Amino acid sequence: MSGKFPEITTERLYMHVGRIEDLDELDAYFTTEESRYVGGPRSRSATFDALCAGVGHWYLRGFGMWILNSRDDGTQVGIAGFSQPDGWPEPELTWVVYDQFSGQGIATEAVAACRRAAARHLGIKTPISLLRPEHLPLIKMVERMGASRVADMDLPEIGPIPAWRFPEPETNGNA
Amino acid sequence: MPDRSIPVIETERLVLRGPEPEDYPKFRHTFSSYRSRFMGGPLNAYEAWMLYAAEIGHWQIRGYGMWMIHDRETEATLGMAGGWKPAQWPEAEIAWIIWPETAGRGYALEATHAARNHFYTRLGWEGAVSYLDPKNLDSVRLAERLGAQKDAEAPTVDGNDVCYRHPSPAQLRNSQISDGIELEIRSYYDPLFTPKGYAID
Repeated sequence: MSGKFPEITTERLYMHVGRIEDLDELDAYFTTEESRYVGGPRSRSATFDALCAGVGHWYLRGFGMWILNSRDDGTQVGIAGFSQPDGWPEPELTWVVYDQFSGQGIATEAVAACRRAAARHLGIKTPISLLRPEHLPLIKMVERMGASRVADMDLPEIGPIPAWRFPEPETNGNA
Repeated sequence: MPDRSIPVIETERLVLRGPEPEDYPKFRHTFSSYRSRFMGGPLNAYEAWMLYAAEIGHWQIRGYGMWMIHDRETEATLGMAGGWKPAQWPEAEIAWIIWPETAGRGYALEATHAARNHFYTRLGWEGAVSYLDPKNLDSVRLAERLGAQKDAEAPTVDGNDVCYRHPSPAQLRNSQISDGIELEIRSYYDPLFTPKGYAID
């Protein structure tokens, strides 16, 4: 039951859809305070459910999230991809790179790979990202990649959230 | 993007298939209602969709999962049944939920009986349990109709549930449990007699 979802290899990353082998490292991250902006801290059991839901998202939507592993030593360094829960007007390009691996341009590399793969294979050409205005480094990162602030996205049960939209990527690079 | 690798099981009245995007509305309806109170509900829209996604993803993560139960003739969905093992579950569970409007016709019995046979004969399971809320009398009754018995020694999910242990493959083979189940299922679509005021749910 594998191999049907796209996998991506970048210069430093191996990006794949979640598997049971990813649970321990996901759990290690999602039990830290560092995970508070991306759904944590939470129990191992909640992380298992989220791992399953992450795979199910691919079936339901035809796109979803990838788990990021270092090509060097296989260490899990983060998560990136597209998420569109029920009632959301469009998919969001979202990502997290764990603190200990930040500052090396891994997020930029992963986001660029997500954009290329989405434009080529998933029918998502100009994705948006939802960012908190206080997260200046993230805003700077997406603006460096060409994204610009657009109208807030109105999410069910959440309300309006500041949004940035990426331009269509150049697709002549390696996806 | 349907998962072609989820096996399809056919029974006398039912077809069990992997859950598809178009099957979601009935799931949402049931999980936003009081009907789901013994399965972690009622859930809001976000939680219900994520649970549905998780039920589908469970197939890939664990190699087994919950089927969508369809009426063979009308294709309508009737509920879900299959195997389930979240991270904190001590053992793999046989689980089920029937949409409220289709309860009382033995569909859960027919589906869980077929699912258990699949796990035992195709996946080599040596046994299975069901973790039930003792207040969920319909499910306690169904577990007993399936030949499961309360296992007071077994660890439970969180102490608020009771572990029912299903008969092992050998126990199912070497007893009349299966015959009894099949006779009961048959009685739903080919009743030997039709008493007034059927007592069973």
